[in-house]
Amino acid sequence: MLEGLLQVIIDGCASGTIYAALALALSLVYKSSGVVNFAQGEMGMFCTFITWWLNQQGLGLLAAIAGGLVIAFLVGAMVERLFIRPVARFGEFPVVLTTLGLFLVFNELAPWLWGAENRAFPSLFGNGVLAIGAARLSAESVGTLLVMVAAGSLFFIVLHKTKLGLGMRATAANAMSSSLSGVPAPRMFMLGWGFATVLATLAGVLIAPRLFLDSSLMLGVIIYAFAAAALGGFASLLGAVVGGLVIGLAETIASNYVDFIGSDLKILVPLTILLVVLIFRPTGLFGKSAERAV
Amino acid sequence: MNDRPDALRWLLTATLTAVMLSGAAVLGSFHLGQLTVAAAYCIAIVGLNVVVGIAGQVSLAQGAFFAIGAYATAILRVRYDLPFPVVLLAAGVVTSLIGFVAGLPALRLRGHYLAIVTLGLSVAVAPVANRWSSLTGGGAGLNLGQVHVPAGLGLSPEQYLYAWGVLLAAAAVIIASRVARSPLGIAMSAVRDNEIAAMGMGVDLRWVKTGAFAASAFFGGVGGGVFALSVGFVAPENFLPMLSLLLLVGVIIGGSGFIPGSILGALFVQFVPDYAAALDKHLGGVFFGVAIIIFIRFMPEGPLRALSALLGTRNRLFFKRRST
Amino acid sequence: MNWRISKAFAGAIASVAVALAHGPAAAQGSYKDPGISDTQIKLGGSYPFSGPGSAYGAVHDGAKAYFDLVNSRGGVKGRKIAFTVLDDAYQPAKVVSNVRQLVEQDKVFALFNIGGTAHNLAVADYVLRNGIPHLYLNTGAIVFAQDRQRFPWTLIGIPAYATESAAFARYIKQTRPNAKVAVLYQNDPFGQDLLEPFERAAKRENLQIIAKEPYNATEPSVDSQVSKLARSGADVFVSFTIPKFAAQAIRKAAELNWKPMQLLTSVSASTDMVLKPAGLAASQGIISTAFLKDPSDPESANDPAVKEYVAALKQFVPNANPADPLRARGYALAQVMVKALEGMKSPTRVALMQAAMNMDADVPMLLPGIRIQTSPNDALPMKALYMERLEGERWVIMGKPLSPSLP
Repeated sequence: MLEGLLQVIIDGCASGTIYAALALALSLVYKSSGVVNFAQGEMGMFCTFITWWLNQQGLGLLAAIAGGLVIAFLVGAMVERLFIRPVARFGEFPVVLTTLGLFLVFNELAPWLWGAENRAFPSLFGNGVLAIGAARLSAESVGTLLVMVAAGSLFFIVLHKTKLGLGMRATAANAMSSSLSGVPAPRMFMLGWGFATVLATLAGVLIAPRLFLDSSLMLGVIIYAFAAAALGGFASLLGAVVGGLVIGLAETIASNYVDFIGSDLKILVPLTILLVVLIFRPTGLFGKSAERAV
Repeated sequence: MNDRPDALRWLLTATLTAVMLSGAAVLGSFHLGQLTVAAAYCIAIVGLNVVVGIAGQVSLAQGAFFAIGAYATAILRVRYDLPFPVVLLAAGVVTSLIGFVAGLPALRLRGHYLAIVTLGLSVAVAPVANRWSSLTGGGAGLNLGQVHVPAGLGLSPEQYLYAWGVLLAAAAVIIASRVARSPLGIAMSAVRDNEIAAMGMGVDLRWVKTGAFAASAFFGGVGGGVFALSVGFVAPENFLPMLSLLLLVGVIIGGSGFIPGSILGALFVQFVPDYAAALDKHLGGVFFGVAIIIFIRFMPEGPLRALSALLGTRNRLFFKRRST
Repeated sequence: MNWRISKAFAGAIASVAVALAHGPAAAQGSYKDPGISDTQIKLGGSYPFSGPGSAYGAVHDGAKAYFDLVNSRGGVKGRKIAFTVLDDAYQPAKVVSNVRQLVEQDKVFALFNIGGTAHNLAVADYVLRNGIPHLYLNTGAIVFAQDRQRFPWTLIGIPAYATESAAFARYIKQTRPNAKVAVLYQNDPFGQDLLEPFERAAKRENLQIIAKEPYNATEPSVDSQVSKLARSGADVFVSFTIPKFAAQAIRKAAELNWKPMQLLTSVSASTDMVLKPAGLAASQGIISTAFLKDPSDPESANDPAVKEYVAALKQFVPNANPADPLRARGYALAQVMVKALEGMKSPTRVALMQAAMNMDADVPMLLPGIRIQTSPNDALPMKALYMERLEGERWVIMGKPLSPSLP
C-alpha cells in the first residue's frame, strides 16, 4: 500500500506539472495584459506542431524547439496586435469572444496543415525512468517540472525585477496612466502575449512526448489549467504552479482511493477543490483581493 | 423609462412571430428542424443574456443548464410520455432550482473566477451523465421517439415542433424583455453597473444574483427541452463545455443586454458553422472562428447598435442613449 | 438470439409502402425511390471532419477513392456513384441533422458508412420511419445486428466489437488459462461495447478480470489509470482504447516496468499512429485482431488488392497516407457497398436491402478466408477475425480466422 501511495503521488505530481505548465502561460498573459486567453492552449499546440515540423525537416530537437519558441513569440505578438488590440477598447466580452474565435481557428488549422493523426514527439530528457523502490518516475516528468519552474522563475524575475517587467505590469494594471508615464502600452501588450505563447509552446513541447501530438493535445488540459490558474490566483505565477500540482495530486489521489469517484469522475475533484478554496479566498490562494472602487 | 412605444414593440413582436410561424407552411422538414434547434438556442441565449447582459454576472454554465433541461425532458418523455407543456415546464423548474444553487458562488466570486467555476459545471455534465447511466442512458443516450401531433391540427411533427419552438422563443424574448424593464431588471442592471452603489440603494445582492442565475437556468432548461424534442435524442457528446461558450457567443453577437438580439445570436450560432463547413468541410471551425472575430471587431455591441451608429441616428427606436 | 427478421421485414416493406404513398409524386419516370436514375446513384455520408474526432474522417478518403475508381471504370451497371458527405464533428445531434439534409435535400438513395454508436442510434428512428438503407456503419455495436425489429434497414460494416472481445477472451484462455486480466476502456459506447461482451466471454471462459478502469476521451492522459491497473498485479492487459490513449498506455506500462501480455483493439493497432510513437520495443508481442489487409505491411505490398488501393488513393485523394488503417477500412467497406449495389435486382431501396441481406461475397481488401455473409436471419456481415501479433515492425497473422460465438 505504501509503495502504491508513492506511485500515486508521483503520478499526481506528473499530471500536476502538465497542468501547471499551461497555467503558467495563462497567468503570464493575464498578468501582462489583463486578458484571459481562451486560445492559449491551442496557440501553444499550434506552435508545438511547428516545432515538430522543424524537427521533421532535419533540425535537431533543441534547434527545432528554439525555432519553435521564437516563432511562438512572433505568433503571440502578432495575434495581440492584429486581433486583440482592436477590440480591447470595447471591453472584456469582445476580447473573450475574439480569443474564442482564435481557439477555433488554431484548433482546426493544425490538423488541416499537418493531418489529424496521432504522432510522437521526441523527449528532451530521453526515455529514462528512475526507480524509487517499486515506484517509477520518468526522467521526463522531473525534467518538465524543472524546466517549468525555471521558466516561471525567469519570467517572475523579468516581471518583478526589471524595468521592462515593471512596464508590463503597469500597463496591465492601468494602460492609460502608465502610457502617460512614458510606458509604450502597445509594445508591452505585444510582449506579454509573445512571452505567454512562448510559455504555452514550451508547455506543449514538454508534454507532447508523454501525451503524444495531435490537435487535441491541449484540449483536455486547458480546463485543468484554468482551474489551476484560478486556484493559485490569476495574477500569480507561483500560484499557477502550486495550483497545478495541488490539482494533479488531488485528482490522482481521489481517483485511486475514493471508489465512488473512480477514474471517470476524477475531473470533479479539482473543480470542487477550486470552488471550496475560492469561497474562502475569492481571488485564489495567492491572489491579491481586488479593491472595489465606488 | 420607456425607450420605445409599447404599441410599436408589440407590433414588431407579433409581426415577427407571425412571419416565423408562416414559415412552417413553406419550409421543408429539414429546415424546420434546423430552425427549431435555433429557437432552442434562442431561448437559452435569452436566459444567458439576462444573467450576463443585464445582471452582469459571468456565467459559463448555460450549456450545463441546457443539458439538464434536455435530459429532464428526455427522461420525462421516455418514462411517462407527458405532454409538451408539462415536460418543458418541469424541465425549466428543475433546471432553475439547480441554477439557483449554481448562482450561490456568484455571491462571493467575480469576473474570471466566477467564469471558471461556472465553466466547471459545464465540464461536469458529460462525466456525470455517463456515470448516472440508469437515469440518463449513459453513453448511448436516450431516444425520445416520434412526436405525436394532436389530431385535428394537420401538422407534421416537424411543423408542430417548429411552432412550439417559435412560440416559446417569442415568449422568452417577451418575458425577459419585460423583466429587464421591471424593477427587478433595473435592480439587476444596477448590480451590473456598480455593485456597491446598488447596495447603497438598497438592492439585495443575494436575491438579485441568485435570482438572475435561476432565471437564466429556467430559460436554459426550457431551451434544452425544445432541443431534445426536436432532435429526438440526447447523449453526453452533445453537451460539451464548448456549448456554454457558443451560447455566450450568441449573447454577445446579438448585443449583450439587448434581449431581442438573442434571436440574431441564435441564428448566428446555429447557421454560421454550417455555412462555414459548406465552404470547406475540413475548415468549418476556422471559418466560424474567423466569422466570430470579424463580427466582434466591427460590431462589438451587436448589429443593431452598429446599424444605428451607421445611420447616424441617436435613435430612440432601439436604444436609450448609453453613457460609456 | 431471436432475429425476428421476417416480421421486421414485413414492417420495413410496409413502411416503405406508406412512405411512398405519402411521398411526393414520383417525378423520376420509372424510378420509385429518389437518388437513383439511369446515370447516377446518390449515397449520403456523415463524417467527423472537424473537432477532436477528426482522425476518423480519414475513413472517407478510402471510400471516396474506391467510388471514384469504380466511376472511372464506368460505374455500377452504368450508374456513377455520387457520394455526398457532411461534417458532423462527431456529435450525434449533428448526425441527425445531416441525415435529414441528405435524405430530404440531397435526396440520397441510401446512407453509407456513418460512424459512432450513439450517432447511429440517434438516426435509427428516422431511418426506420422513412425506409432508408443505412448501410455499413463504421461501428461494431452488436445491437444493430441483433435488434432487427428496431434496425431492419441497418447493417454494420466492421466486425462486431463483441466478436473481437470474444476472440480476445478465447485467446487469453488458450495461452494463459490462469490469467489475471486488467482492462482499460473508453467510457462511451465504443469502449462499453467492447467491455461488456468481453466480461461475458471471460465469465464463459472462466477468466478473472481483476481490475477495470474507464477513461473519458476528453481527458488529457490515461497514465493514472494505467498505473492503477499495473498495481493490481494483473498479467494480462486488455486495452479498449483509441489510438492516442492506446499509445499512452503502452508507453506508461513500459515506464512502470509492467510487462503483461497486451491485447489491443483493432482500431488502434496501427504501427504508425500507435506502436511507433509508443515505442516498438515496448510494443513487441502485442496482440490484436485483423480483418483487413494491412497496407503498411511491406509483405503485402505485392498483393493486387493492396496495390489497387494504394494506386486509387494516390490518384483520387493525393495527399492521403495509405498506411492509415482507417483509409483501408473505408476502401473495403466501399467495396462491400458496391457489391450490394451490383446485387440489386431492381433499382429500389428495398432491392438494395435484399441484396445486402443476402450476400455471400469475397471482398478484395479483406484478408483471405473472411467473407461478407448475410442472410435474412443473420445481419452480421463479418463474423470472422484473425488474431495477429506484433513482431519487429510488422503485424504477423496467427493461424486461421476465428469465428467465435458471441457471448
